[in-house]
Amino acid sequence: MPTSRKNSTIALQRLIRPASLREFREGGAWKVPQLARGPLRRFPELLAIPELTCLPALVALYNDPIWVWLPARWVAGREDTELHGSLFYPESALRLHRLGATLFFHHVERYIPALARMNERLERELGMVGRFRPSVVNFFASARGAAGPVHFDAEINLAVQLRGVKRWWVAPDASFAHPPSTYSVVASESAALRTAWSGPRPRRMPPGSKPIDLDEGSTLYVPPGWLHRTDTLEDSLHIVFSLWPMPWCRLLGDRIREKLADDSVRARERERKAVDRVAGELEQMQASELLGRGRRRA
Amino acid sequence: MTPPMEFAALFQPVSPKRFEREFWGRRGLLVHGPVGRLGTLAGFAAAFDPIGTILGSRRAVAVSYPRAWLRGRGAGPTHEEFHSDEAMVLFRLGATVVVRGQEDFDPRIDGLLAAVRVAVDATDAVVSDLVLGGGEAFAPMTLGTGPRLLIGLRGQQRWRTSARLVDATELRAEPVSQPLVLEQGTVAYVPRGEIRALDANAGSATLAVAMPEASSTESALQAFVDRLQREPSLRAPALLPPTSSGRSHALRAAGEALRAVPLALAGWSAAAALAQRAGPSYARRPGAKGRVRSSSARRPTFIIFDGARTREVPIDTSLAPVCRWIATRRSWFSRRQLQVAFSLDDELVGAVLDTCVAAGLLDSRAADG
Repeated sequence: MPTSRKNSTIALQRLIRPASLREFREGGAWKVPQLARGPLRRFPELLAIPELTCLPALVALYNDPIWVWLPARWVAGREDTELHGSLFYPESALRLHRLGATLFFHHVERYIPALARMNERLERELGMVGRFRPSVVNFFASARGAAGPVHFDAEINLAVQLRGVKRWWVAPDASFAHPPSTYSVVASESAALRTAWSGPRPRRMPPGSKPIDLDEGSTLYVPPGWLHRTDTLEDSLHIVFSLWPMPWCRLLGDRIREKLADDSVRARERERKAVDRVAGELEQMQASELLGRGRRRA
Repeated sequence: MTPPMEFAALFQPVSPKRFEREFWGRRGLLVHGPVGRLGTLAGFAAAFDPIGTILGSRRAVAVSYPRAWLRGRGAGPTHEEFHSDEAMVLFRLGATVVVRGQEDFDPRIDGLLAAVRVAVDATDAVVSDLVLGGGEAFAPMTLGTGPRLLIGLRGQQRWRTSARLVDATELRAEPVSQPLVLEQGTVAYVPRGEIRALDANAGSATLAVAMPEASSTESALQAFVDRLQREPSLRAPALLPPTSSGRSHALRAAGEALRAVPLALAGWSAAAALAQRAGPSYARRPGAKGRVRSSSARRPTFIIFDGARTREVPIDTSLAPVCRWIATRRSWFSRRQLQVAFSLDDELVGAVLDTCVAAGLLDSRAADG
């Protein structure tokens, strides 16, 4: 492992190439996919963690049930498509992976603290004002022939291919800008997504979707709201740094909550009065107040 | 707030009126005293068996690892969830554990929680955590944010809260120094802020009761935020890049988001949305009364007198606190309020309320916004 903490983290710039940091944070580069190729040795910080390139070692370290995405042919024709993703104990999950299932190690930074420090740096460099949810690091192991369903994510995902080859099919543009939660053709929708999104739900990749083959060392950023799906061409391991910046509407809610927090009569306030007060605060809110004085996340 | 006797007894010598005036929703309170004043809860404190309680919970138990078990600072999680039988082994080895939902198994805790629901007009599920000390030092464990009641049942535990608490027993005006030492019979009321367990002697036990207060502001705020999500610029991530131009860029984005607020709210009524979400409202019909009759030998019965005649409705034991809550309500309450306070499913809530309306105990009115 690298000895200094500074050297053991990854600069955001290295995961969003070919965009520059300025284009990504202040321009429009974060609204379109970014792909860069190169040898994995570009990321000695990741190679210094042996479990990331050795699946049995990661399974031995990971002390939680693992999400297993079963091969599509096992689920085809079943009424309950949500069985596609189910939790299994680590040893059982490894057996299913040998049969072609994809393993999804959620929150893997709980067991590899070095990854949590990498996420902290990425959050800082991105300039997140607040966290909508805790940022996580996810790890995927998929067997050759495995396919990921059509979906889009709500968070900022920065992927690094560690082993094998995976083909990503990415839509030609955003299906829904800044979604509040994930959409997948094999899972139910959150109430927040139903509220925010009134358009028709795509069931397959839109025309014009392009294949992108990620081989060892490649990095890929697919913006939130862009539909994608995957096919595994060779047994694959990849890691994803998932960052959850707070959206403006929730930050607005938090600012108003802070302003009303010390109001000692709020517990007995009439609902209509509360509505008027929140509406009043919304009307008076200034951009500088919304942003707050801090530069760092909440 | 009209505290029932069980709730008021927790804060003696502070009177219910003084508690409501000076502390409720405002300041924390710490009361020391004999456990006997806690009524039936004292019986629970004297009788419960920690091993049996862990095993009997039959659900995931949070285990805080002793510091000595960790492989260095930041080397992994300091607490995780285990099956109850695994947690029992770890508890015997010195780990401190948190057993959730003891109210499902013990009527004395269920009774306390029912009293809390009535007292605070709960808008969310009132639930308990029983923190059982394993004796070994552990990394501070966050239990969540207030409002909460902490009740010392056995032994000694040290806790820290971000709220300021006043010691009622000694009638001191200055805040209690932290960490708080909870001993048998100590009760702490924490109105808000983070609550962390710092250490717990072997055999010690603290009951932590989450008691979310009624807050119209929070409901209104959530309704607004849900609606604001319709505008893309309000869903965009709030970023403040750490560069010289970052702040002006972020101010522009914040301004754009704020300009979208009127668009998102056009043609929408927050009051109507809230009323719709709350569902129909109910209140006791003038002259009608209800009470729950229960005995260990027979199934509980909800006795309803509608002013002219009496009806007896056999009920499931788990519904007894719900019926008691309905019977003690003096003002209109919404269907949603009842549903969230007791974590009931929609169908069950509908069945209970329909029965009460049909038996003449409750009047109902539609959600009108």
